[in-house]
Amino acid sequence: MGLEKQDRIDRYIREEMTSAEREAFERDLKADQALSGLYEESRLIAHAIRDVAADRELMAIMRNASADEIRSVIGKERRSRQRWLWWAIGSVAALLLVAVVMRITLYTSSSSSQMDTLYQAYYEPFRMRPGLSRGASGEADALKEKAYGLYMAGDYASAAELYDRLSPDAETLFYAALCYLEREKPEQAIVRLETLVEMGDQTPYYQMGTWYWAMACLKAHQKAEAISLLRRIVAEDGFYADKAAELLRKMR
Amino acid sequence: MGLTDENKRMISWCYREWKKEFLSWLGKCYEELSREDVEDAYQEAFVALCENVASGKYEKRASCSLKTYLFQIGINKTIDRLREKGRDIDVPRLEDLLFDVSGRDERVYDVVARMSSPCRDILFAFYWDRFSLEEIACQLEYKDAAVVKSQKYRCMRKVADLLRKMGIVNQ
Repeated sequence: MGLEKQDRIDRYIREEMTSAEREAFERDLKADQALSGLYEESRLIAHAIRDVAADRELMAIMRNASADEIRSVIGKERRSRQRWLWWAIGSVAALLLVAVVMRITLYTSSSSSQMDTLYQAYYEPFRMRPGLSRGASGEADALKEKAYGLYMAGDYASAAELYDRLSPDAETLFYAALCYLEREKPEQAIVRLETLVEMGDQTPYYQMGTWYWAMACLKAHQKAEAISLLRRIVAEDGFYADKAAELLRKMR
Repeated sequence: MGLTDENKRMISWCYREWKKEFLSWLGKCYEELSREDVEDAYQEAFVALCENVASGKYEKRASCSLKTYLFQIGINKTIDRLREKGRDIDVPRLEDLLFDVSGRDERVYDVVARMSSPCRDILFAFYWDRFSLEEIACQLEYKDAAVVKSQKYRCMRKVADLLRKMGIVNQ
Protein backbone atom coordinates (compact mmCIF):
# COMPACT_ATOMS: atom_id res chain seq x y z
CA MET A 1 0.00 0.00 0.00
CA GLY A 2 2.83 2.39 0.92
CA LEU A 3 4.63 1.67 -2.35
CA GLU A 4 1.52 2.43 -4.40
CA LYS A 5 0.82 5.67 -2.51
CA GLN A 6 4.44 6.71 -3.04
CA ASP A 7 4.15 5.86 -6.70
CA ARG A 8 1.10 8.10 -7.04
CA ILE A 9 2.79 10.92 -5.13
CA ASP A 10 5.86 10.66 -7.36
CA ARG A 11 3.75 10.88 -10.50
CA TYR A 12 2.19 14.05 -9.12
CA ILE A 13 5.55 15.56 -8.11
CA ARG A 14 7.03 14.73 -11.50
CA GLU A 15 3.97 16.19 -13.25
CA GLU A 16 3.26 12.92 -15.05
CA MET A 17 -0.48 12.88 -14.30
CA THR A 18 -3.29 13.80 -16.63
CA SER A 19 -5.41 16.73 -15.45
CA ALA A 20 -8.18 14.31 -14.36
CA GLU A 21 -5.67 12.28 -12.32
CA ARG A 22 -4.26 15.47 -10.82
CA GLU A 23 -7.68 16.70 -9.73
CA ALA A 24 -8.51 13.31 -8.20
CA PHE A 25 -5.18 13.26 -6.36
CA GLU A 26 -5.69 16.77 -5.01
CA ARG A 27 -9.17 15.79 -3.78
CA ASP A 28 -7.68 12.75 -2.05
CA LEU A 29 -4.98 14.90 -0.45
CA LYS A 30 -7.66 16.94 1.27
CA ALA A 31 -9.57 13.87 2.44
CA ASP A 32 -6.74 11.50 3.41
CA GLN A 33 -4.47 12.75 6.20
CA ALA A 34 -2.01 9.88 5.83
CA LEU A 35 -1.63 10.56 2.12
CA SER A 36 -1.25 14.26 2.79
CA GLY A 37 1.52 13.62 5.35
CA LEU A 38 3.34 11.28 3.02
CA TYR A 39 3.02 13.80 0.18
CA GLU A 40 4.38 16.66 2.30
CA GLU A 41 7.44 14.62 3.30
CA SER A 42 8.05 13.54 -0.30
CA ARG A 43 7.61 17.06 -1.62
CA LEU A 44 10.13 18.46 0.88
CA ILE A 45 12.68 15.76 0.09
CA ALA A 46 12.23 16.05 -3.69
CA HIS A 47 12.53 19.84 -3.47
CA ALA A 48 15.71 19.55 -1.39
CA ILE A 49 17.17 17.03 -3.85
CA ARG A 50 16.65 19.50 -6.67
CA ASP A 51 18.23 22.33 -4.65
CA VAL A 52 21.24 20.20 -3.69
CA ALA A 53 21.72 18.95 -7.25
CA ALA A 54 21.35 22.43 -8.75
CA ASP A 55 23.83 23.82 -6.25
CA ARG A 56 26.33 21.09 -7.09
CA GLU A 57 26.10 21.90 -10.78
CA LEU A 58 26.51 25.59 -10.04
CA MET A 59 29.50 24.87 -7.80
CA ALA A 60 31.15 22.89 -10.60
CA ILE A 61 30.72 25.90 -12.87
CA MET A 62 32.09 28.30 -10.24
CA ARG A 63 35.16 26.12 -9.70
CA ASN A 64 35.95 26.34 -13.40
CA ALA A 65 35.53 30.10 -13.58
CA SER A 66 38.11 32.75 -12.94
CA ALA A 67 37.20 35.78 -10.84
CA ASP A 68 37.43 37.96 -13.96
CA GLU A 69 34.94 35.80 -15.80
CA ILE A 70 32.49 35.95 -12.91
CA ARG A 71 32.80 39.71 -12.74
CA SER A 72 32.35 40.09 -16.46
CA VAL A 73 29.19 37.99 -16.26
CA ILE A 74 27.73 40.01 -13.39
CA GLY A 75 28.96 43.26 -14.88
CA LYS A 76 31.39 44.92 -12.56
CA GLU A 77 35.15 45.08 -12.53
CA ARG A 78 37.42 45.06 -9.58
CA ARG A 79 40.52 43.71 -11.26
CA SER A 80 43.40 44.78 -9.09
CA ARG A 81 41.79 43.79 -5.78
CA GLN A 82 40.57 40.48 -7.21
CA ARG A 83 43.98 39.58 -8.70
CA TRP A 84 45.61 40.00 -5.32
CA LEU A 85 42.87 37.96 -3.69
CA TRP A 86 43.23 35.09 -6.20
CA TRP A 87 46.98 35.13 -5.67
CA ALA A 88 46.43 34.83 -1.91
CA ILE A 89 43.83 32.08 -2.32
CA GLY A 90 46.12 30.24 -4.74
CA SER A 91 49.00 30.40 -2.26
CA VAL A 92 46.86 29.10 0.59
CA ALA A 93 45.47 26.32 -1.61
CA ALA A 94 49.00 25.29 -2.62
CA LEU A 95 50.10 25.19 1.02
CA LEU A 96 47.04 23.14 1.96
CA LEU A 97 47.76 20.70 -0.86
CA VAL A 98 51.33 20.21 0.37
CA ALA A 99 50.04 19.65 3.91
CA VAL A 100 47.49 17.08 2.71
CA VAL A 101 50.08 15.18 0.65
CA MET A 102 52.49 15.16 3.59
CA ARG A 103 49.73 13.94 5.90
CA ILE A 104 48.78 11.14 3.53
CA THR A 105 52.45 10.14 3.15
CA LEU A 106 53.08 10.10 6.88
CA TYR A 107 49.90 8.22 7.81
CA THR A 108 49.61 5.34 5.41
CA SER A 109 51.13 2.41 7.31
CA SER A 110 49.57 1.83 10.70
CA SER A 111 46.11 0.91 11.98
CA SER A 112 45.96 4.23 13.82
CA SER A 113 46.82 6.04 10.66
CA GLN A 114 44.15 4.06 8.82
CA MET A 115 41.59 5.26 11.35
CA ASP A 116 42.84 8.82 10.99
CA THR A 117 42.54 8.60 7.24
CA LEU A 118 39.03 7.16 7.44
CA TYR A 119 38.04 9.79 9.97
CA GLN A 120 39.25 12.54 7.62
CA ALA A 121 37.32 10.97 4.78
CA TYR A 122 34.05 10.39 6.60
CA TYR A 123 33.82 13.11 9.19
CA GLU A 124 31.63 16.03 8.15
CA PRO A 125 31.17 19.07 10.34
CA PHE A 126 27.56 19.38 11.49
CA ARG A 127 26.10 22.81 10.99
CA MET A 128 22.36 22.24 11.01
CA ARG A 129 20.52 24.71 13.16
CA PRO A 130 18.75 22.94 16.01
CA GLY A 131 15.03 23.30 16.11
CA LEU A 132 14.04 20.95 18.87
CA SER A 133 13.87 20.92 22.63
CA ARG A 134 12.54 24.45 22.76
CA GLY A 135 9.96 25.91 25.00
CA ALA A 136 11.13 24.62 28.37
CA SER A 137 12.16 28.06 29.57
CA GLY A 138 12.97 31.30 27.83
CA GLU A 139 16.32 31.56 29.58
CA ALA A 140 17.44 28.05 28.61
CA ASP A 141 16.44 28.69 25.00
CA ALA A 142 18.39 31.95 24.94
CA LEU A 143 21.49 30.19 26.30
CA LYS A 144 21.12 27.44 23.70
CA GLU A 145 20.92 30.07 20.94
CA LYS A 146 24.03 31.72 22.33
CA ALA A 147 25.86 28.39 22.52
CA TYR A 148 24.89 27.56 18.94
CA GLY A 149 26.09 30.97 17.81
CA LEU A 150 29.47 30.34 19.46
CA TYR A 151 29.60 26.91 17.85
CA MET A 152 28.89 28.30 14.39
CA ALA A 153 31.49 31.02 14.91
CA GLY A 154 34.09 28.32 15.62
CA ASP A 155 34.52 29.20 19.29
CA TYR A 156 34.20 25.57 20.32
CA ALA A 157 35.74 26.02 23.77
CA SER A 158 33.19 28.64 24.81
CA ALA A 159 30.33 26.77 23.14
CA ALA A 160 31.25 23.52 24.91
CA GLU A 161 31.48 25.28 28.23
CA LEU A 162 28.03 26.78 27.76
CA TYR A 163 26.44 23.54 26.55
CA ASP A 164 27.92 21.67 29.50
CA ARG A 165 26.35 24.16 31.90
CA LEU A 166 22.89 23.60 30.44
CA SER A 167 20.58 20.79 31.45
CA PRO A 168 21.72 17.69 29.52
CA ASP A 169 19.11 17.03 26.85
CA ALA A 170 19.63 15.53 23.39
CA GLU A 171 20.50 18.86 21.80
CA THR A 172 23.00 20.05 24.40
CA LEU A 173 24.72 16.66 24.62
CA PHE A 174 24.97 16.40 20.84
CA TYR A 175 26.35 19.85 20.18
CA ALA A 176 28.68 19.70 23.19
CA ALA A 177 30.08 16.45 21.78
CA LEU A 178 30.60 18.09 18.39
CA CYS A 179 32.50 20.92 20.07
CA TYR A 180 34.86 18.40 21.66
CA LEU A 181 35.32 16.60 18.36
CA GLU A 182 36.22 19.87 16.66
CA ARG A 183 38.65 20.53 19.53
CA GLU A 184 40.31 17.15 18.92
CA LYS A 185 39.06 15.77 22.24
CA PRO A 186 37.16 12.68 21.11
CA GLU A 187 37.08 11.03 24.54
CA GLN A 188 35.02 13.95 25.84
CA ALA A 189 32.75 13.67 22.83
CA ILE A 190 32.31 9.93 23.41
CA VAL A 191 31.08 10.42 26.98
CA ARG A 192 28.36 12.81 25.85
CA LEU A 193 27.32 10.86 22.77
CA GLU A 194 27.05 7.64 24.75
CA THR A 195 24.69 9.37 27.19
CA LEU A 196 22.65 10.74 24.27
CA VAL A 197 22.33 7.39 22.54
CA GLU A 198 21.36 5.67 25.79
CA MET A 199 18.30 7.92 25.87
CA GLY A 200 16.86 5.62 23.20
CA ASP A 201 16.09 5.59 19.51
CA GLN A 202 13.07 7.87 19.76
CA THR A 203 15.34 10.64 20.97
CA PRO A 204 16.00 13.39 18.47
CA TYR A 205 19.64 13.20 17.31
CA TYR A 206 19.74 9.44 18.06
CA GLN A 207 20.83 8.50 14.55
CA MET A 208 23.21 11.46 14.24
CA GLY A 209 24.49 10.73 17.75
CA THR A 210 25.30 7.11 16.99
CA TRP A 211 27.09 8.04 13.76
CA TYR A 212 29.20 10.76 15.41
CA TRP A 213 29.91 8.41 18.31
CA ALA A 214 31.43 6.03 15.76
CA MET A 215 33.37 8.96 14.30
CA ALA A 216 34.65 9.89 17.78
CA CYS A 217 35.80 6.31 18.35
CA LEU A 218 37.69 6.45 15.04
CA LYS A 219 39.29 9.69 16.11
CA ALA A 220 40.24 8.18 19.48
CA HIS A 221 41.65 5.09 17.72
CA GLN A 222 39.11 2.86 19.48
CA LYS A 223 38.76 0.50 16.53
CA ALA A 224 36.74 -2.26 18.18
CA GLU A 225 34.23 0.24 19.55
CA ALA A 226 33.96 1.99 16.20
CA ILE A 227 33.32 -1.30 14.40
CA SER A 228 30.69 -2.31 16.96
CA LEU A 229 28.86 0.99 16.55
CA LEU A 230 29.03 0.85 12.77
CA ARG A 231 27.56 -2.66 12.84
CA ARG A 232 24.77 -1.37 15.06
CA ILE A 233 24.06 1.47 12.63
CA VAL A 234 23.91 -1.01 9.76
CA ALA A 235 21.60 -3.33 11.69
CA GLU A 236 19.23 -0.50 12.59
CA ASP A 237 19.05 0.37 8.88
CA GLY A 238 18.61 4.07 9.44
CA PHE A 239 19.84 7.13 7.58
CA TYR A 240 23.54 6.33 8.04
CA ALA A 241 23.31 2.58 7.39
CA ASP A 242 24.73 2.66 3.88
CA LYS A 243 27.58 4.96 4.83
CA ALA A 244 28.36 2.80 7.88
CA ALA A 245 28.44 -0.32 5.73
CA GLU A 246 30.82 1.34 3.30
CA LEU A 247 33.10 2.42 6.15
CA LEU A 248 33.03 -1.05 7.71
CA ARG A 249 34.22 -2.59 4.42
CA LYS A 250 37.20 -0.26 4.44
CA MET A 251 38.07 -1.11 8.03
CA ARG A 252 38.40 -4.82 7.43
CA MET B 1 38.99 25.87 -18.33
CA GLY B 2 36.66 28.90 -18.67
CA LEU B 3 32.92 29.35 -18.85
CA THR B 4 30.80 28.12 -21.71
CA ASP B 5 27.86 30.22 -22.87
CA GLU B 6 25.54 27.83 -21.03
CA ASN B 7 27.58 28.29 -17.84
CA LYS B 8 27.44 32.07 -18.18
CA ARG B 9 23.68 31.93 -18.63
CA MET B 10 23.31 29.86 -15.47
CA ILE B 11 25.55 32.19 -13.41
CA SER B 12 23.76 35.20 -14.76
CA TRP B 13 20.32 33.72 -14.08
CA CYS B 14 21.22 32.81 -10.48
CA TYR B 15 22.71 36.25 -9.92
CA ARG B 16 19.57 38.00 -11.12
CA GLU B 17 17.03 35.72 -9.39
CA TRP B 18 18.83 35.71 -6.06
CA LYS B 19 19.39 39.48 -6.27
CA LYS B 20 15.65 40.06 -6.58
CA GLU B 21 15.02 37.91 -3.50
CA PHE B 22 17.85 39.47 -1.53
CA LEU B 23 16.75 43.03 -2.23
CA SER B 24 13.16 42.19 -1.42
CA TRP B 25 14.05 40.29 1.77
CA LEU B 26 16.46 42.88 3.16
CA GLY B 27 14.35 45.78 1.99
CA LYS B 28 11.29 44.45 3.84
CA CYS B 29 13.26 44.14 7.06
CA TYR B 30 15.16 47.35 6.71
CA GLU B 31 13.38 50.08 4.77
CA GLU B 32 15.97 52.70 5.71
CA LEU B 33 18.77 50.98 3.78
CA SER B 34 19.47 52.60 0.43
CA ARG B 35 19.03 50.41 -2.64
CA GLU B 36 22.56 51.32 -3.76
CA ASP B 37 24.02 50.09 -0.43
CA VAL B 38 22.20 46.79 -0.68
CA GLU B 39 22.98 46.28 -4.39
CA ASP B 40 26.69 46.94 -3.85
CA ALA B 41 26.77 44.60 -0.84
CA TYR B 42 24.98 41.91 -2.86
CA GLN B 43 27.44 42.19 -5.75
CA GLU B 44 30.41 41.88 -3.41
CA ALA B 45 28.72 38.94 -1.73
CA PHE B 46 28.18 37.12 -5.02
CA VAL B 47 31.85 37.44 -5.97
CA ALA B 48 32.82 36.29 -2.46
CA LEU B 49 30.49 33.30 -2.83
CA CYS B 50 32.22 32.23 -6.04
CA GLU B 51 35.64 32.67 -4.44
CA ASN B 52 34.64 30.63 -1.40
CA VAL B 53 33.28 27.84 -3.58
CA ALA B 54 36.46 27.80 -5.67
CA SER B 55 38.69 27.79 -2.56
CA GLY B 56 36.68 25.07 -0.80
CA LYS B 57 35.73 27.37 2.06
CA TYR B 58 32.00 26.98 1.42
CA GLU B 59 32.13 23.20 1.68
CA LYS B 60 34.26 23.30 4.81
CA ARG B 61 32.10 25.71 6.76
CA ALA B 62 28.55 25.62 5.49
CA SER B 63 25.83 23.04 5.47
CA CYS B 64 23.27 25.23 3.80
CA SER B 65 22.28 25.98 0.24
CA LEU B 66 24.35 28.32 -1.91
CA LYS B 67 21.56 30.88 -1.77
CA THR B 68 21.41 30.87 2.02
CA TYR B 69 25.20 31.12 2.21
CA LEU B 70 25.09 34.02 -0.25
CA PHE B 71 22.47 35.80 1.84
CA GLN B 72 24.59 35.32 4.96
CA ILE B 73 27.60 36.86 3.21
CA GLY B 74 25.34 39.62 1.89
CA ILE B 75 24.20 40.52 5.40
CA ASN B 76 27.80 40.69 6.60
CA LYS B 77 28.80 42.84 3.62
CA THR B 78 25.88 45.16 4.35
CA ILE B 79 26.93 45.48 7.99
CA ASP B 80 30.55 46.21 6.95
CA ARG B 81 29.45 48.78 4.42
CA LEU B 82 27.22 50.57 6.90
CA ARG B 83 29.96 50.62 9.55
CA GLU B 84 32.43 52.08 7.02
CA LYS B 85 29.97 54.84 6.26
CA GLY B 86 29.40 55.49 9.95
CA ARG B 87 25.71 54.99 9.41
CA ASP B 88 23.52 55.00 12.46
CA ILE B 89 21.76 51.69 12.06
CA ASP B 90 20.68 48.92 14.37
CA VAL B 91 23.47 46.42 13.61
CA PRO B 92 22.34 43.79 16.18
CA ARG B 93 19.01 43.65 14.37
CA LEU B 94 20.76 43.04 11.07
CA GLU B 95 22.87 40.33 12.70
CA ASP B 96 19.69 38.72 14.02
CA LEU B 97 18.55 38.35 10.42
CA LEU B 98 21.38 35.87 9.92
CA PHE B 99 19.60 33.47 12.25
CA ASP B 100 16.33 33.88 10.38
CA VAL B 101 17.82 32.70 7.10
CA SER B 102 17.82 29.01 7.96
CA GLY B 103 14.32 27.61 8.04
CA ARG B 104 12.86 24.14 7.72
CA ASP B 105 13.83 23.86 4.05
CA GLU B 106 17.49 24.46 4.89
CA ARG B 107 17.42 21.68 7.46
CA VAL B 108 15.94 19.29 4.94
CA TYR B 109 18.64 20.47 2.49
CA ASP B 110 21.33 19.58 5.02
CA VAL B 111 19.92 16.09 5.58
CA VAL B 112 19.59 15.43 1.85
CA ALA B 113 23.12 16.72 1.17
CA ARG B 114 24.42 14.09 3.63
CA MET B 115 22.81 11.16 1.87
CA SER B 116 25.14 8.43 0.76
CA SER B 117 24.96 5.75 -1.90
CA PRO B 118 22.86 3.90 -2.90
CA CYS B 119 20.01 6.15 -1.70
CA ARG B 120 21.68 9.29 -3.03
CA ASP B 121 22.20 7.74 -6.47
CA ILE B 122 18.64 6.44 -6.78
CA LEU B 123 16.82 9.49 -5.42
CA PHE B 124 18.89 12.01 -7.35
CA ALA B 125 18.47 10.00 -10.56
CA PHE B 126 14.72 9.92 -10.00
CA TYR B 127 13.90 13.43 -8.77
CA TRP B 128 16.66 15.50 -10.40
CA ASP B 129 17.68 13.65 -13.55
CA ARG B 130 14.07 12.43 -13.92
CA PHE B 131 15.08 9.00 -15.18
CA SER B 132 12.44 6.28 -15.25
CA LEU B 133 12.71 3.33 -12.89
CA GLU B 134 13.74 1.16 -15.83
CA GLU B 135 16.54 3.56 -16.79
CA ILE B 136 17.75 3.72 -13.18
CA ALA B 137 17.72 -0.10 -12.96
CA CYS B 138 19.88 -0.23 -16.08
CA GLN B 139 22.29 2.52 -15.01
CA LEU B 140 22.76 1.34 -11.44
CA GLU B 141 22.69 -2.35 -12.34
CA TYR B 142 19.62 -3.38 -10.38
CA LYS B 143 17.67 -6.48 -11.42
CA ASP B 144 14.62 -4.57 -12.66
CA ALA B 145 12.37 -1.53 -12.12
CA ALA B 146 10.47 -3.26 -9.31
CA VAL B 147 13.65 -3.58 -7.26
CA VAL B 148 14.48 0.09 -7.84
CA LYS B 149 10.94 1.08 -6.86
CA SER B 150 11.23 -0.85 -3.62
CA GLN B 151 14.69 0.51 -2.85
CA LYS B 152 13.58 4.06 -3.66
CA TYR B 153 10.65 3.72 -1.28
CA ARG B 154 12.97 2.39 1.44
CA CYS B 155 15.34 5.32 0.91
CA MET B 156 12.53 7.90 1.06
CA ARG B 157 11.23 6.36 4.30
CA LYS B 158 14.71 6.48 5.84
CA VAL B 159 15.11 10.16 5.07
CA ALA B 160 11.54 10.95 6.16
CA ASP B 161 12.04 8.97 9.35
CA LEU B 162 15.13 11.01 10.19
CA LEU B 163 13.31 14.26 9.43
CA ARG B 164 10.50 13.22 11.77
CA LYS B 165 12.88 12.18 14.55
CA MET B 166 14.68 15.50 14.19
CA GLY B 167 11.36 17.33 14.44
CA ILE B 168 11.78 18.83 10.97
CA VAL B 169 8.45 17.34 9.84
CA ASN B 170 5.53 16.37 12.04
CA GLN B 171 5.40 12.93 13.60
